[in-house]
Amino acid sequence: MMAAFGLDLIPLRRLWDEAHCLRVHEAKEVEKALVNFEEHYPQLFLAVYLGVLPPTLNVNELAFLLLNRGMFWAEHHPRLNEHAIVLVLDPEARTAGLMVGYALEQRLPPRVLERILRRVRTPLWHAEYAPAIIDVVEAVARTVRKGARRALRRDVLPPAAPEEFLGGSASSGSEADQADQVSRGRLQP
Amino acid sequence: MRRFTSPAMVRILLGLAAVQVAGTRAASERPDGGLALPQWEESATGVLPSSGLWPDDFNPNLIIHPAMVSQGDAAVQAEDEEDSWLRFLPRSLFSNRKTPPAPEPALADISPEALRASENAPGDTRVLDPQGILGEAQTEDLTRLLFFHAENAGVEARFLVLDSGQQLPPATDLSRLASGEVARGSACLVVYPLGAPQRARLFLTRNVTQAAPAAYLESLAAACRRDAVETPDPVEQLQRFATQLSIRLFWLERAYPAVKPEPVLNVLPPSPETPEPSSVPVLSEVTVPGPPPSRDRFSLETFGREWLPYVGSGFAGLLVVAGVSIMFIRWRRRRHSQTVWLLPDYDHRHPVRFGGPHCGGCGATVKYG
Repeated sequence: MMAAFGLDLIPLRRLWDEAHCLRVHEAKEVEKALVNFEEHYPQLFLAVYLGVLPPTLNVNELAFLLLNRGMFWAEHHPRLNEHAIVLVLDPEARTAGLMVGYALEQRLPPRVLERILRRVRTPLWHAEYAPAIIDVVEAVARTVRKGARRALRRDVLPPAAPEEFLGGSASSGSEADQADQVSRGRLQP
Repeated sequence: MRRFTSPAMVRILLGLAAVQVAGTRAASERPDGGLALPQWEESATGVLPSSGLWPDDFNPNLIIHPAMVSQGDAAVQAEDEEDSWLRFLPRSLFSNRKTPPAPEPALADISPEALRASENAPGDTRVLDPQGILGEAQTEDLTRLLFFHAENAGVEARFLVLDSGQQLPPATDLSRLASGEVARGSACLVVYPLGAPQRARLFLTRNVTQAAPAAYLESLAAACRRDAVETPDPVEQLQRFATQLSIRLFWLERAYPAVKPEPVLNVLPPSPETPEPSSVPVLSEVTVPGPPPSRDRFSLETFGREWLPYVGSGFAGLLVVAGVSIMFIRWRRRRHSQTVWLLPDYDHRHPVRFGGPHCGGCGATVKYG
């Protein structure tokens, strides 16, 4: 099946609203939820696709394609596609599909994914896509958290912004830091 | 010529001339030539004929022509508006003036003659009305009720009826009423001012007051007063009071059987050596405690003194709880923002399914709508 789709990588964003189902502020809310998810789960990322699929393609196939051929944009560090989660919504066919990579199959088996999707059936039926997508993100986060290890961000990840490592600069650093810098010959007393 | 110049003829001619002159003068004085108007005399001014349209106390001198009124005239005083209306409308329409309440008349003691008559009344008299305040029919009704009560109850009831403005003298010996039968056995005497049930006084014999608690007797008296004041008619008040008293006395017997008089067995005449001890029970009054003093005005000082500690401690507790909650929420939010969740490292050992290097089709689909 992969051969049928070719070997080219498909560049994707976190949120791809091909069907234009979301308003601007709704898209911002969904984007914010996805960013928040990526910040708290540095190994994972979740992508959402909204579009009308051709008759020859269903949501499962598209999700399979995106996970195996998708080149997801990572802001700070690369993330494996095995740790990816894709949510595909077809507003015309009124179907939703949720698929995960190999690394998450044990934490998010098909029955758990089905239970997550069944919770958002009513909002999707009412065309409330943004709340439904956010609910899916939160449900996935809650499920994944159960077996995960809690850690502080600064112990695990590199600084995301210059302010994080410039907070103890030479002009405002402690005396111990300044003494260390002087001993190393980097600062003049 | 001789016939036309006779003296008679001359006199006739002169008379005719005089009449003609007078008529000519009168005609010159009438401007329109119609009937003559009466001539008003100066002394007749100010006397207006009574036509029935003027009020009885109308003073024509009060009528002042507007042209004669000057603004700076201190003598011209504006009439009170209401007084001006009073001259044309009945005074009963202006009775909305708040008259000061009449002071309550002082209570007068019942006359000694009436009291003596009550004392000399036969022993079986239930309604002592020496002054004839009640009518015959009302007295008969009340007597019938009290006789029926006496036949079936252990505690008898008697009424001493007073006028609404009368009271019992302070040092009255009630045990002598009705030839002393009032204080025999278990009895209840009600000194009832007709029309003032709130001032009715209940007296019970000692055996009753000792057998029943004071609170119960107070509630009995209060219930009788409460039932009586529900109607404005004085006679009906008395009837309701007596009915309620009868019911309550029955209940009293049932609740406290000791109030019943002990049966008299084998009454032996007292021996002359040992004088018979005076066992005449004394009548004691059942007083109803007055209502608690109502606080008509809210006193901030009192409220502050009583409730301020509780309010202050409650408010401080709320502040502490709110502060702790806010601090906890902030700490949790800060901790959550700095927390990441890490999954175990993936060893990449997985069977490739459907040719997918990263995903094997593990997912779910749902159809909505």
